[in-house]
Amino acid sequence: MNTSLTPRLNLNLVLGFSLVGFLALLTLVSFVYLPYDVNEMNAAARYQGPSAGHWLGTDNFGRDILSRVMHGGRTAFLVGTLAVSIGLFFGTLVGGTAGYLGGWVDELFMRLMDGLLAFPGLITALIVIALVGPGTFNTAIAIGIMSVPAISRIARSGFLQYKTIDFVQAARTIGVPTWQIMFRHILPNVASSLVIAGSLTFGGAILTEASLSYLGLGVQLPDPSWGRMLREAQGYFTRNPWATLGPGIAITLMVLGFYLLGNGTRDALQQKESHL
Amino acid sequence: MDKRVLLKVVDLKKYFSMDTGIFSKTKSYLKAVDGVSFEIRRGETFGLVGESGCGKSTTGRTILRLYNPTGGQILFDGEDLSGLDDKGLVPYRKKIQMIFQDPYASLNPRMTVSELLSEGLRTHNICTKEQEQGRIFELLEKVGLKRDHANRYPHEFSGGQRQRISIARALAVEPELVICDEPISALDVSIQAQVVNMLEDLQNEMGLTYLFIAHDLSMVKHISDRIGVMYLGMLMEVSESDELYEKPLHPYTQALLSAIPIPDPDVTRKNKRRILTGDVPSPIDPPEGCRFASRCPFASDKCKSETPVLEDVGNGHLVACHHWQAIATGERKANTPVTAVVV
Repeated sequence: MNTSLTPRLNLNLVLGFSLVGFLALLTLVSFVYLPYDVNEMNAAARYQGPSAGHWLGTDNFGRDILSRVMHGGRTAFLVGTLAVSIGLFFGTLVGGTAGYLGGWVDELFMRLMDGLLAFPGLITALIVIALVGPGTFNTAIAIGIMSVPAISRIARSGFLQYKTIDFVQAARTIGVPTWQIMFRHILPNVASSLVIAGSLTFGGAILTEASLSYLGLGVQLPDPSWGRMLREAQGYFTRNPWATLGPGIAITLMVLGFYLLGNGTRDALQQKESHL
Repeated sequence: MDKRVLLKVVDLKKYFSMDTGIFSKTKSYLKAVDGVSFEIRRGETFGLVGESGCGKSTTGRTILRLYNPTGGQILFDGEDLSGLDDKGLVPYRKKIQMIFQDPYASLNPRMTVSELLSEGLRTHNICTKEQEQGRIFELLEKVGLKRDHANRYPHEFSGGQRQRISIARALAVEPELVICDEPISALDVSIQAQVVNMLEDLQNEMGLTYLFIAHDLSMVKHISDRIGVMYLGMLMEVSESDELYEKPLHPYTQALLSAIPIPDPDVTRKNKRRILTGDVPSPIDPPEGCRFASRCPFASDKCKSETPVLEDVGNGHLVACHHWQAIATGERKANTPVTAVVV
């Protein structure tokens, strides 16, 4: 029990917000300023380590890694946002309907989700990409579909918990239509756990995007993506190990940032909810 | 059918199936309500009492069709609600309302008071958008709240105030029957009387009919015109409330009434209380015969094999007991010593 009047510092939230904010800032800056053009090759400056001219060094074509990391942030945020939106939308729809309606709808939807969950996430994403082809948007769609089962389970348990609560029964007594009960009464109460799930999914989505791009199936040339940069750097790792540093750190910070943000949000919301 | 009867419940049953596994074929049932019949006349208050778990709340919720009945009829104004689908129920959603026990769970924490109250008004098109605000203010004043409470959230109110909001929400749709599911048991004693008096005033003002579910016998006596006593999903006795308190016929009712504390130490010392031994049997696959037989001091072999039916013993007084007459005349003595002096 915290007895002091000053609110306790939510370290998770602050750190997570700082990390994500820092990377978001770098990405935003990339729209107005980049140290070098991302695809500008410089044969005279290949395989360089960090220096005043190239903070994170250069790659096998002499391209500036910092510029490419900054530009790669766009891809990361785009794919993450799209994937999480898809995951949240369909996950909530499927899980919410299953949880609230129950019965055979619940059985059917959740067994489908179990089926999807039985495949390792990356395999699901690979299957989707095999069907629709690689590319930034397709990667986002694949990752989104991959995250639907986990989110649907969270949504289902939330809807299940609230469907028997008195205020939902009261709404039924008044004759409020089912969809309105689901969206007006239950969803706002389940939203906080969905936001947390979304934040955690975001980190996972970026990691998956990096993995897919590393395998060469995600974001395609010439868009720089962190995973793709890692893959390329692997080829000349012994000549210039520095090239892996930039994208590696960016991925780590991004995933860690969203993870902390998710946990911090949960702490903050739970504190608030105990006052409701 | 008697025009004065607003709600007539006939042989209402609500069983919850207990899944014992995918492969087991025998299903067991929790018989929460097992053949309950009663009627409520227009403008009266019918009290439903019984210990917790006896199925009184389930009865209330099944009448509202929050649960689908397993059997029986729910005749509201002569119309059977038991088989209606969601669409068919909509007009009755306006006519029957409910006040819940827990004022902390019955209001959506993320909606303001005016949002809570406007929902019913909009669902049933009770007034135009322009009239809505005025109507909400009117409702708030009716339940003793202020106009500027309209834009607040439930967590800003006390339990008693929340219950008033809950009552206002039920009244918003101008119902005929209000099912009060232990509306005061979660409140402070000082607030209980206020809320009960308000319910009575509202009843007179709006011509409401109440089904009042409670376990507090003295409060039920105060508010009810007639009372039904439930035990393990069945009605044991139904009577005018004064008669029930003066002349209880069923051994269970007698035991319940003897448990009401009397605020006078002299009386309490002299008074012999009937202490029931044992626990309430499980409602899962309850035994044949009278539900109360396992704890009844007067039980005979007949009680354990034959389920007594509610019979009218005159004056609208109904009792479900094989031996009520013998018990009343003192002919039938208790099998076990049943009274104890409580010091």
